[in-house]
Amino acid sequence: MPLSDRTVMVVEDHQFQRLTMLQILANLGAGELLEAADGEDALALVDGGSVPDVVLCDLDMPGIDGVAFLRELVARGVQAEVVIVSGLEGDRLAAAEAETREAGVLLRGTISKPLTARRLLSVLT
Amino acid sequence: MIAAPAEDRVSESGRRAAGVVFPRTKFHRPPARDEHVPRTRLLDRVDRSGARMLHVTAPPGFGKSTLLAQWAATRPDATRSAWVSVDADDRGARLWSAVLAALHPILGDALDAAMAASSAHDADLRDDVLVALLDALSATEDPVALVLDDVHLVLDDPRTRSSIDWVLDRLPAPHAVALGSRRTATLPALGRRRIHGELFEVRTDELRFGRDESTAFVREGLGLDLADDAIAALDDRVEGWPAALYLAALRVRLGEPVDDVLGGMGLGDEDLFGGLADEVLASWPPHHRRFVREASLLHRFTADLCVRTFGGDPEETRQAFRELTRTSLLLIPLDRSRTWFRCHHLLRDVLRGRLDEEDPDRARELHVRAGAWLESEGGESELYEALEHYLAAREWEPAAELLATHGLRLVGFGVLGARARGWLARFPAELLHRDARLAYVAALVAAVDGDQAGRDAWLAAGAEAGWDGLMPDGTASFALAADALAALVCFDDVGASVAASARVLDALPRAAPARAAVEAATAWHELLCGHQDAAEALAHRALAGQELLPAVGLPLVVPLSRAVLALVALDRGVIDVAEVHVAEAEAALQAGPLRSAPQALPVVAARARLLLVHGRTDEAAVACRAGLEQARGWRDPSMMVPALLVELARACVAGGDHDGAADALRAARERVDPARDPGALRTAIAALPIARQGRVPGAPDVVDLSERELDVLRALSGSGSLRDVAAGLRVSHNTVKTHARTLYAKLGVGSRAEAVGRGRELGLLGGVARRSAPPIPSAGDAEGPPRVRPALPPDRGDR
Repeated sequence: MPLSDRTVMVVEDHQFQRLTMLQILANLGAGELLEAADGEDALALVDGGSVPDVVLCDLDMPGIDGVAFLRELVARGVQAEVVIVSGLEGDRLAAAEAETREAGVLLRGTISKPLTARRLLSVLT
Repeated sequence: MIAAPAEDRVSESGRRAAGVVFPRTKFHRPPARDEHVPRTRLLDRVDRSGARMLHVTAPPGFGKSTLLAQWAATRPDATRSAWVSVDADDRGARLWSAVLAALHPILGDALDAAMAASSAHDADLRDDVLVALLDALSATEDPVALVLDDVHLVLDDPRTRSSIDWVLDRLPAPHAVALGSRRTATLPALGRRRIHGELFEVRTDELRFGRDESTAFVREGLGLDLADDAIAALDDRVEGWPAALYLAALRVRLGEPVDDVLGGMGLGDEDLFGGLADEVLASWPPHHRRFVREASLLHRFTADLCVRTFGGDPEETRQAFRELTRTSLLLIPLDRSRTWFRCHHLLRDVLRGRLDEEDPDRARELHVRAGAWLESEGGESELYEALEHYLAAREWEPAAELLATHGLRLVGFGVLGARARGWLARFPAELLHRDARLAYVAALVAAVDGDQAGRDAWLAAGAEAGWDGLMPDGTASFALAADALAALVCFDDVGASVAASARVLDALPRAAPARAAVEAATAWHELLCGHQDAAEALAHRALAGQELLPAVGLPLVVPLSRAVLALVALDRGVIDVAEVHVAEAEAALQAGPLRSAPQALPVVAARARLLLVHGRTDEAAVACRAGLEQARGWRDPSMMVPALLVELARACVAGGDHDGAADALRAARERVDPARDPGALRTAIAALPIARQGRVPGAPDVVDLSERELDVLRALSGSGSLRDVAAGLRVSHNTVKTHARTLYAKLGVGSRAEAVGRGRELGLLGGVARRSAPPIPSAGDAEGPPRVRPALPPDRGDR
């Protein structure tokens, strides 16, 4: 499915960063865009019927963290492709990736911050 | 054009002035610490002197900031003290933007005029901003204190220096200013204040600890139970220099005999401090040493920033952060929540210099890693700090990527002026030409500046350099980004912009932030061409486009689109619709960052035309002149000034001010005549009745009347009353009156008889027909009586 037909959700607590991601996605021609400031917001959107095809997710967030949120997403039967966008490095990032995969998340890839349009597109296509 | 997050603006309102955003920590008075010795004696002397100006001058480490903080905190109303930690780039208007942001929580609305002036494009710093600031202070009876710490950083800039001098000379009572500086600020105003006994100066010698203060500092502040003679020996050696005493005392606390400490001390300040610092650091555990050495490279830091920047074991870094920020006087908290810290300046300078010299590769690596964290975890001000790190490391790749990713957004933040030119100037010149991303940013800066040649040259350089694939902000190609720039501002060629716009709108995704901006700009350009239908459709699409991307506001899109819709509606005689659009445009402007920016001139044009239609000719002319005044000195990139001059001429003609009209038309012609393609502006100028104002013989003489207006004019040439005319045209009496007013304005006349006379003169009533203006498409003409559209819901399109 081309990016223009996909609903993409950005889950990121920092507003400036969230807007940066949304603007890049909009320039890339993503279909519908959803945004959430944390895992709980994102789950509320899903529960309200806004189901994403792709989720861009930070790992380090207040409230439920990224991995816990992704687990909840799987538990709700959402089959979205997931891209982790994180400032974490090395072992901690690898551990989070492994945990996410074990939870049954369709992990499409990981992008270390700062996010660039090219890295995002190469993971998404 | 603008892409600024509306919510960010709300959260930043307290630290933003004139479109400049500052880190919050810039305005925090350094919090009191247990170790600080109260400088009661000095403060009493300041208080007794009755001076309203305090100037504290000393090298680093003498407690200037501490004294100033204590002074501010012990004033009769400490909540009315504003603090600005001056940085090296706070020059000229930027310094005063910081001062306004610092004073805003105290003075509130009283600063509105100064804030508006400081964000006006062509405001004069002294005549507009500083005068308004002094006015606001004059109007405030309760004393306000302003502290400018580290002001030496900007005093070598003549303009900044003279602005400070000017304000100090005129500061109204009872307000007070305190300056903290490493060097004496030899400002004439201070000399005059000194003569009048209004200046209290504190120099190094007065800041040196007396024996009792040294004892209090060592025993109570540092908790060191040293004998009197040991304290005396140390104090003699460091001569009451608090920072050095601190380091020396720390060494004694580590168990070193006082004599050894004294014996190892250097002579000069740097030597003494550097030597002391080395000895102290040598006694620290390695993770503390490493922490301070590397943190010295950061302007300010949090625990997370350090973890990411230093790499290695995160827990070790966090532990060092916790321990050092709790116990060390060398790390200064910048906020009450103790999130942000900085290194003591003296220590920072010593350590940073060494790191650069001894391990430049590591220094560069730290800069890049710090930049990456700030760029990916922070907001707008952290973005600028990130860029500073990349530039300091001469790491051009991430710096170019950052600028090109956020370029359009930076326009919205109002920083793509001198500051952006400063950033670009720090790249190697040949790289600017070789890197299409940088050439694009340079072209964007030029476009915003109204520099047509610059924009075109940089776009050509970028095209020549070439760029493969996506631009950093996700735009599909350099060519598309370049076309967007060509579409956003037309300079003197409306046709070229409209053509570029067609390519852009064909290729840009529907929610791309640039899209609505291009649609709004093209709506304006189409209107300049006299293509009302196209302008209207684009303006509606631009407004609808605002809703596609949640929370992203494009500040010019709503006012510009609404202004276009209003002008189209006025051309068609649908006054109530125009009224709604003008009101919405003005409301959007008031709420956004462009409140007094010249980019919003079309809104003024729409308001003026509306006033004119209502017969309020004088007010229309006043509105136009105010708009033109706002645009004084502005390099207009989209023929907004001549369009407004035409409105002014119409208002003047209608008000019988023929000289005013002639002046306005002359000014409009000066801009329009040399233009490659000014759309229908030439025709619009020619259409005004300028014969009486010395029209050049043979000049075209045309009026852009709509078919409906021509119908009204023809009917008016008969003998019936206005009601008869209305009945004949099958429209309401009010509609005819409205048409008549528009008609009078366009013909530059004040009465029915004059209108008919002028119509005959122009051959519009069966004489020598000269109607060469492009026919103006109008739904009202095609469908009989003008439609009165329902007012748009107030929330539509204003996100």
